[in-house]
Parts: sequence; structure tokens; C-alpha cells
Amino acid sequence: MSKAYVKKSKLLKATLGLKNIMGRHFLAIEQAIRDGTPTAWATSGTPVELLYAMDVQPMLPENSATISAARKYSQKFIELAEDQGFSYDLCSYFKTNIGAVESNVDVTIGGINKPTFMLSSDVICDTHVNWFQVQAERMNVPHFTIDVPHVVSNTNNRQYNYFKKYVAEQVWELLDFIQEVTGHEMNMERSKEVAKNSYDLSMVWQEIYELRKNIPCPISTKDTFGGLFPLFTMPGLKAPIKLYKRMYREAKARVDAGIGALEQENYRLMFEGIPFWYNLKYFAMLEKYGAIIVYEPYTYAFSKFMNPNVTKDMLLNKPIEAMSELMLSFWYIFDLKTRIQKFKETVDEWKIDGVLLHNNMSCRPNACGLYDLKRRLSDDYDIPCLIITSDMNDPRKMNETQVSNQIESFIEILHKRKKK
Amino acid sequence: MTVLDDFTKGDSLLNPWMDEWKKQGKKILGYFCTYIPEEIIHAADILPVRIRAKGCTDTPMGDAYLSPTTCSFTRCCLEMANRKQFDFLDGIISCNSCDQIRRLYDNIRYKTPFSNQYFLSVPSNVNDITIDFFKYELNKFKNYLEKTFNVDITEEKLKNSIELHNKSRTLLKELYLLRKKKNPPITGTDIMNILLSGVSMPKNQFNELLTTQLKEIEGKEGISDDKSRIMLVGSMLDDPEYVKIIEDLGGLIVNDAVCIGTKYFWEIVDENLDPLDALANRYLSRVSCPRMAGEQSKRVDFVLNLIKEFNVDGVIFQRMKFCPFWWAEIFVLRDELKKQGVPFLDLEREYVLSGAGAMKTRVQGFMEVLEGK
Repeated sequence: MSKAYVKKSKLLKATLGLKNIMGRHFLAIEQAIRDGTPTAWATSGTPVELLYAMDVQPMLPENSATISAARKYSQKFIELAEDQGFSYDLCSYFKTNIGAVESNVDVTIGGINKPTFMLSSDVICDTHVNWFQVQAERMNVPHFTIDVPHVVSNTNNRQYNYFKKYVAEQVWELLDFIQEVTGHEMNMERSKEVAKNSYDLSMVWQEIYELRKNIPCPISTKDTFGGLFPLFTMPGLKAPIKLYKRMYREAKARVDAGIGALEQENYRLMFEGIPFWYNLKYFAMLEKYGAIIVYEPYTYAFSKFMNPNVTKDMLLNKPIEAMSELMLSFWYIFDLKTRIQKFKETVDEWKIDGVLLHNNMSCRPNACGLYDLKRRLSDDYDIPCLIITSDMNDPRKMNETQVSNQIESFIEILHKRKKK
Repeated sequence: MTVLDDFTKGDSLLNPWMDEWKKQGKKILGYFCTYIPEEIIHAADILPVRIRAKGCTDTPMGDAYLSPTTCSFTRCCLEMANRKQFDFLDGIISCNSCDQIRRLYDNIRYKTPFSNQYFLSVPSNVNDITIDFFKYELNKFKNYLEKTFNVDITEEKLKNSIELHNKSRTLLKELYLLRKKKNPPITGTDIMNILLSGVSMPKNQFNELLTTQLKEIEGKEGISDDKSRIMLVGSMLDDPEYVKIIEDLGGLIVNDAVCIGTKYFWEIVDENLDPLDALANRYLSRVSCPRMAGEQSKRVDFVLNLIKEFNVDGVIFQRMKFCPFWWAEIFVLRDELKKQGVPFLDLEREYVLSGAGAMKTRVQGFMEVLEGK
């Protein structure tokens, strides 16, 4: 098998603008704290747009945790949390947050201020709710949680419609809660503007993903892993839309010119799960085999407008109902059957040769949903899959040599299949 | 043979009461969590049985499908389902107890499906909206049972079922309250056997046995050779042997906050309300499992009150590995216990009893701490 040297993938120039955009987000937080404007911690998957619509500055602890990891501080914070008795196996975002708050560190290494209130939901995992419950208690701030029923295999339409109503009722309740805590009222005009911006942002992100269907693929995870953050920290603002549009135009130009992010694209891969934020450059290792990741359900999932029932019109006319339905359409809520189907469709549409699945040791919904998925994809659809065991934020759980060896063997398999 | 001997039968996966029930041509449904109301299943003349993975020793298939970083109870259950150990059940009822049980439902459905499999959506917080929603879910569940098993669950049947289950709860509470005595008349190991029978045999028979049991221990000389009075808190625990290890080392369990324990029976259902309203209210508002958001301080208060009422010397907190709910719960509880000066032992465990030696050493150390106080 050829392991000819392949040049490193090319980052979009536009992606460099990400630093500025995220800088603005953190500046806005700093300003809100300084001015006494209400702030809120929010877990991913919650309707952050509504916070913007009510002039509450969102802060996403998961985002801060990834910064700690990227700046190589997460291990220190995690160990600090473990010193307090938090379990080795507990979510590493949660522990990073505990350690960062305890250490009272700067935002540039993942620090996060005490918020006016906290907003969580179990749409992605139970730990989100638990995490905020613990921190709300420790920091003595109010906490609102949205209960989202999970769509399991036998959920029928009637039940689903009731679920929508149920979530919407809670979101209305959330608005009252915010008003009570902050004194800010819901401004429907502002909410429409925010909803529209969020929709536009997601749509451009989806268009970027459409471009990744091309062979060669114009952009790599160097653009998408970081590019994801405005989707869940700033949905509803205009600035990230401009950035995404620039990313789109540049990627489109590459497609038109037949240029890929990799000089030589041999294998197209999917990566399921949260990346290891402390070692992103590890993904570049794939490039020496001419392998490129062309689809990540994780980064795609945050372009939340994937439910065809939630149109732009619905969003503008009934933003609360639309946001509620979107919570029920979130990728991580789906049952095994739907997930298998969605993976199969994605593999076909994005012309994927193999799937890398990250068995994230501190993420329960992720870890306990991968092996079954792998079996079904391999057995039923003959899609090569590789499970990599590691952790999103805890570098101690990453065995680089082992993962490298696994990937090398996996590429060997892909190579043999290509030759057939 | 004493009634207590009878109750030891409850520990096995398939007990004589279930055999007898099956011989009458009646159905048995397995359920996963104390948030699933037994009353509705009973009202359909079906025996509700709490699903346990008793007898599971290894989990090769469970590990392969659910990953070794998933809680061992879910892996054991998938293993048992795959080995056809649950074939005596006519169906299973699950709910979103946690991410792992939710995934288990899908895996069972995919890998070893039951002819009848139902998922109940249980809200994770308590307010008017969620109680209304849960009532709707319970009604849907009732309709499912009626349609699937061709039965009619009338309001009267539901009311009778609630009354029967309340009777059970009252008797259990009566039994528990006897443990307040300086020398409690019953061990935690025996209590565990009673509760395991309670979740796996017809309620009317259980109530009769329990009534006899209460009479038997009335006036009985209590246990006086214990070193300390212990409260057991934490994850799902259904192994009398685990409790016995603690008690053999001198720690008499005098009460608990576990799901096959006080959380199963402490509060009764209001018999004056519409049955589904009453069930929705009771099941969401009862002393909760950490899956319920916003209830943490109530749970802490519940533990602190029991500590006081039952004159507890120390708390043993047992939590299943990879159970995020209990991982998070412990921190708030621990702080409160520290404030109150209540000694506390944190034990991590797997569903299948393993590492008993290490556990004994830690419990023994804890007993010495308590004795030295």
C-alpha cells in the first residue's frame, strides 16, 4: 500500500476569521459582566436564540471547556475536580468546568463567570442537567431545565405531536422564568430577527456541508471543528453569518477549480463523536494516507434546522413552537433505528469509504450508542467502521500509539477494498 | 419455615409465585424503573416484575454492544436478554430513567426483541406542565395495555389497584419504622429480600405475607450485637449479599434511600383523586431519584431527616460505576453530611458483586471510624 507523502490539508483563509468572531463573543460576555447585563450558562441543544432575543448574554461552558483543552489546561482542571472527589469516569467537560470555576481562571484558558441563571436540557444527555444542577447549587444561582422526551423506536406521530406541544409549553414557561429573574421581557420583533439570523447561519453551514459531497472534498476538519462554535454560541447574531458565507465562497471556488483540501484524496471518512480537543492536530495524521474526513455528525448536528417541518415561515411566525420542534429533531435524540438509517444515507450521499467512531470514555450517550451502531453498519450495510477509544477533554485517556496503529490498519482495509 | 425464609425466594430471577401465576395462564411484564407505575399493569391483571439481572456473571455481548464504559446493570440486562433469561416475561416496559437505560431499550429492541415492548416517557422535573404530560403518557400506556392484552382497565380496577399498592406501601413503612428502635427487630439483608419479593410477586400475596411477618417480629427481641447503625444511599441495588457483607462487619442497615427501598414505597398515592391524576402526581412528586432535576435539596432533606429519625451513625453511599446521576449527586449530599457531622463512606461498585475483599476492608475501616466517635 502506498503511503506516499501528501501535503497537509489547506485551511480556508476565511476560517482564520473565526478567532475574531469568537473574540467578539467573549468580549460581549466581558461587557455584559461589566455592565451588569444578565448572563446565562446554557448547555448545547437548548434554544440559545431565546436568550439573545431577551438580551441575556449566553455563555456556553462546553465551549469554555474545549478552550481549556485546546490550551492544554483541561487535564489540570479535571484533576482538580477529581481531587474534590469527582469520579475519574465522569464527563470531562463537567470536570473541566468544575476545575476552571474553582481556579477562577481567565476566559482565554476556559474560565467562565458566574451567571445570572443557568439553562439546561436533557436533549443531548442527562449529564447536562446534572452538571448544571450541581453548579447552580454550588454557585447559588437559579436553574431552569427543559425536559425533552426522547424519540425511541416506537414513537408514533400522535405521540410526537404531543411531545412538541409539551416542549413548547416548557419553553413558554422559560420565557416567564427569564423575565422573573432578569426583568427582561420577550420582544417578539427581536425574537424574529434572532430566529432569522439563526436560520440563515445554519443554512450556510449546511451549504458548506453540501460542498463537502464533492470529490475532492474542498474543506477538512481544520475548518469545521473550530467553525462549529458560532453555531452554538452565537446563533441569532449576524457576524458569524458573514464568516460562514466567506467560508462557503472560498470552498465553492475550490470546488469549481477542482481543488480539494488535500492535494491527493484517497479515502473519504466520517468521524462520529466529539473530537479530542486537546489534540486536534492528531487528525492531521490521517492526511499522510490521503484520508480526509468529509462529514462529522457532531458538527453538522448543530446546524439545527434539519427538520423539513420547521420552515423559515414557521420560524418567523411561531418562533417558540419552531424552536421547540427543533429540540425534538436534534441528532442525538434519535433512536438506534433512525441513527442507522441516517448514517447509511450520509455514507451514500457523501460517498464515504469508512466511518471512525469515537468511543468517548466520559460521554455515556455517546459511548453506549456506538458499538451497536458499528455492528449494524458493518453487518447490514458492509460499511467499514473503526472505533477509537479516547476522550473529548481528558488527554490521559488518549493512547496515541494505539490509535495510530488502529488507524493504520483501518486504512489498510480501506486500501484493499479500493483495489477490489 | 418462617416468613422470612419465604421471602428469600424473592431474590431469584423466577420465583415460585411467578410460576404459579404463569400456570394460571396469566401474563408477566418486566419493568425497569420505579418511575413505571405497577398499579396500571396490575389493573390489567398482569403481574409487574422489576427487571433484574440476577445470575449474570459476565457480559461479553453486553460489552460488545453497549461498550464497557456503560453501567454494568444495563450491560448485564442486555446479556440476560440475549441469553433468553428473560423469556419468562411476556414483554418489557422501559422508560427514560437515564441515557443508558434508554439506549438499552433500543438495543434490546434491535438485538433480542420482545413481542411486547413499551417505552414510557417520564419527565425529568416536576411542575404542572410535566405532571399533565405524565398523566397523558400514563393514559397512553393504559390504552396500550388494553389493546395489546385485550383487557379493560376500568377506573374501578385502577382504584382497587392503587388501594392494594398503598396497602403494601403502608405495611412496608410500618416495617421500616420498627427499625427506629434501639435494637431493630430485622436486618437490612432481610429487608432487601422482602423488597425483592415485593417487586416480583402478586401484591395481595405479598401483603398477606408481610402482615404475617409484621406479627412475627412484633415483640421480638431486637438485634443488639451490631456496632453501628448505617443508612444505605445510592444507585440501584438488588443484591442481599452486598448488604450482608456490611452487616457481617457490624454495620446494621437501619434505613436507606435507594430505589428498591424507601424510594419505592415511602409515599402513598392519593386515593381521593382521579386515578391517573393521582398516579402522575405521586410518581413525579415522590422522593426522587437523581434523574429528577431541581429536587436535589429535597433529596438531601429526605436523607438528613431519616438520619435523625433513625438515629443513624454513618452513611454508606454505594454508586454503580458509570452512573453519572449518582456521581453528581454525591457532592451536594456529602457537603451537607459534613456540615451535620455525619460520617460517610463512598463505595463504587459494579452490578455483579466483585471485589468483596476490598469492599470489606473499606467497610471495616469505616466501622472503626464510627466506633471511635
